Amino acid sequence: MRKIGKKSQHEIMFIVFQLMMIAAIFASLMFYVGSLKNQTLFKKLALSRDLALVTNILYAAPGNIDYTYSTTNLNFSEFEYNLKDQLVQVIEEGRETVYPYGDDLLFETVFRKISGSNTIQFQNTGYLFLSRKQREAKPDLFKCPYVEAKDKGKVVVGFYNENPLANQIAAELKADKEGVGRITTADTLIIADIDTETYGILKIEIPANPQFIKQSRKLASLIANNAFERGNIDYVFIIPSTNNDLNKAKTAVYIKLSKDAPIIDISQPISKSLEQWLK
Amino acid sequence: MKKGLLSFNMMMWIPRIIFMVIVVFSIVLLVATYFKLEMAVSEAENELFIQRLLYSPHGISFYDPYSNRIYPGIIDLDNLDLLNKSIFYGEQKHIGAKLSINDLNNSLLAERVYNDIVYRRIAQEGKGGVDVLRKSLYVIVRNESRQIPGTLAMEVVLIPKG
Repeated sequence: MRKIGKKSQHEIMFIVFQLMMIAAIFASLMFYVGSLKNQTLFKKLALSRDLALVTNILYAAPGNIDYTYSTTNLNFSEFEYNLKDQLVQVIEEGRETVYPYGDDLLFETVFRKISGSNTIQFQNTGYLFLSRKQREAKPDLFKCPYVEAKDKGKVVVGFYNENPLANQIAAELKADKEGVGRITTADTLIIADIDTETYGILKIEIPANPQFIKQSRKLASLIANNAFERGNIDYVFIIPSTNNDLNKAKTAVYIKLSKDAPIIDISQPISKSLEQWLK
Repeated sequence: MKKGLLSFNMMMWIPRIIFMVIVVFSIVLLVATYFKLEMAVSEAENELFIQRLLYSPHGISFYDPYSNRIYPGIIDLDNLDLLNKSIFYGEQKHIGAKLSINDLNNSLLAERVYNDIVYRRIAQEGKGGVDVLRKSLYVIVRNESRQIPGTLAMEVVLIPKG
């Protein structure tokens, strides 16, 4: 057997060392590229920006909108999402990636933290902005205008013929109840009547008077939407009317409810609507 | 092997190692260059802000309470003050805008600034690194009950968020 000389031993050692160096560098480069591939930062940045733009678009919608957000190429459910303090937050293990969006302070906004979902459902109903996990779409609610209402003042419930609806509304609101012809002073007037000729319909008349129509439409829209959500009303109509009795107060609505609809489905929503109306 | 030759061989490793370090850094640099984390959305954001002013029920367009709808081509001067009450970017305050409404003879009918602090700071002090979008539209201006043809000039400034 031939003995390897000292020179050859050194050369072999150098070659082995060289190979080891190449392997180490190749492995570290692969590790670096692999770590970039596994980074979720890019996804989080993309999602935060995309959601912020979507939120801005949905706020800008002139009509009601119900939109389900989902992604095709990204695994949406691997992060948590929240909209808070005018920031879209994409959260991974408690760490947030954020991007600002423009809130609308005239909306009542309800944002729920979303985790483990493939979609986010957004709803803009004119005064209410929601984001949550996918649920059934809401019925097409009435959009209502922005009106600065600070005080509902003296609330009076009126009637043409005394009826249980007017009684129930007056009791719910703890307000005065009076025949329409006898009402002299009222800031907010709610005239209530039972319509014996229709089924499942809520009709709300508002004054066509340009001075009062805006605030009255807002109240009517809120009543309609709150009553609609109860599920026992099939159709709601809001109609500008030339009925002079509606000009007796700054804000007035004339409610005609079909005889088959439960009275409580109107009286309670009216109370809730008056609270919302002041916001 | 002679000791001198061995030292020479060892010395030859130094340029090799330097060359290898250069190659490794070049590769890392190339990978880092192609791996981009920036996404420019400021242009879309600017455009969206303008659309929001025109189409949102809480923007500057005329709302008709009889039909309960917005008319995006009609600017209601009464709504101009609504602007700073509705759209709110929180503490970020990275968007500012100036709206100038003129009639067709170029006489100024109204002027409003959205997010005054940001707009004045960026637009007047000429701060760099911002995106500016200027747009002019023909509109109908509603002043009380009168309707006048005119133009709406908008200048939106935005500080891009990293």
